[in-house]
Amino acid sequence: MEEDLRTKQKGAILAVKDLPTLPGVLQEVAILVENPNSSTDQISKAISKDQVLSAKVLKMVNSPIYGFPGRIGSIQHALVLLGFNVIKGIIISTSVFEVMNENMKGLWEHSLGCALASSAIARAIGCKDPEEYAVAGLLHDIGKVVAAVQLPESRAAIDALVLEKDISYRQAESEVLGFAHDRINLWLCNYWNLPANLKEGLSYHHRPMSATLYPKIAQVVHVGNFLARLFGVGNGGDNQVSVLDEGVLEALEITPEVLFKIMDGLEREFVDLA
Amino acid sequence: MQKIPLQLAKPEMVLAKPVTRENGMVLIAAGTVLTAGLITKLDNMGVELLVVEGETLEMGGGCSEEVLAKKRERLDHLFRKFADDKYMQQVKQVISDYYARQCALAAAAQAAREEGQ
Repeated sequence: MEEDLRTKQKGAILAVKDLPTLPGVLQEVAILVENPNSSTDQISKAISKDQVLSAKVLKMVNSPIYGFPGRIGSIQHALVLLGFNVIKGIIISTSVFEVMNENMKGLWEHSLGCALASSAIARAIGCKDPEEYAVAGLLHDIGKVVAAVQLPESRAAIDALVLEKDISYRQAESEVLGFAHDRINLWLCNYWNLPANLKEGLSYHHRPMSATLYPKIAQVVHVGNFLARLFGVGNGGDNQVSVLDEGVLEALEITPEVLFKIMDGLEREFVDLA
Repeated sequence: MQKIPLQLAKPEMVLAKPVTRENGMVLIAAGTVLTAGLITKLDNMGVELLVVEGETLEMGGGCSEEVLAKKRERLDHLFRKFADDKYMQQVKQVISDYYARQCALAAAAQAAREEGQ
């Protein structure tokens, strides 16, 4: 019986294609990208057809999260600089969060904060392609949003449980749904065909030491999530810090000195984000 | 500019970013000079954070014991569920040390400025 309920909920959540704001462009672009003969020119033209979406993507790539000094003025330029996976992640996040604008504003800010923190950590420890870490941070709670949209009554129950028992949002999700947003992230990544590194970053950000293929991205988002909560940027659904698993800071070679430097930088950057 | 909690807002401070409602409607424009009346109104409306011009640490005179105590109080709240978790307590201690050091640096910078005047 319980298993049935879970399967049903999974089905409801995965009916994401009904999400009103997910642009048709995404599908079109995904097909173009699969084809090795497509040029960035073709892809950027496809995205540019949707002007509202293009404006959103450009706003995002020019935010302090990605840290490019000059202004990125065109989708094509953004694609060349950031790569398709990052742009795809940005399209998904802005579109999905669109539905939740009113009552999940705090979660959007929290996601931006986590993206910024993940990018700062990735830079501080010298990771290649810090933009990919940033977009993993941006998408790390996407499962919460999709679950809330697809199963609105569960969202209310989770919120109530967080308040009543003073537990984390993730614990409350497990009690109400039988699974939490990191699991939903995994389904969504498969559904949207996101690359393996983002998939690991999104699905293992709460248990980074279990990630096998790309542990680093999961570890960075794990710490980024912690920092966003520590700094109180937005609202991740409950007002606690997330658990920092023992060994993660060591694995990333983040000493207290490195951590302090990251925090010094974030203090300034979080202001720009406001 | 600096993002500050409303409790630390004082008259004469200048808004660096507009105060908006959740739907994006602007309540008070950027550049507005805060008054005691305005701060009370913001409080009544449930506004918690403001972005003001300048660095409040400078305006407030270095870093007071009060600010540090507030930060530590917030840490206690954020870590309330991890009282028995040895590792999380270590993390908390490291962050608490960070706040103390930051505070000492701000105080030293303030002292240096006063000396220069």
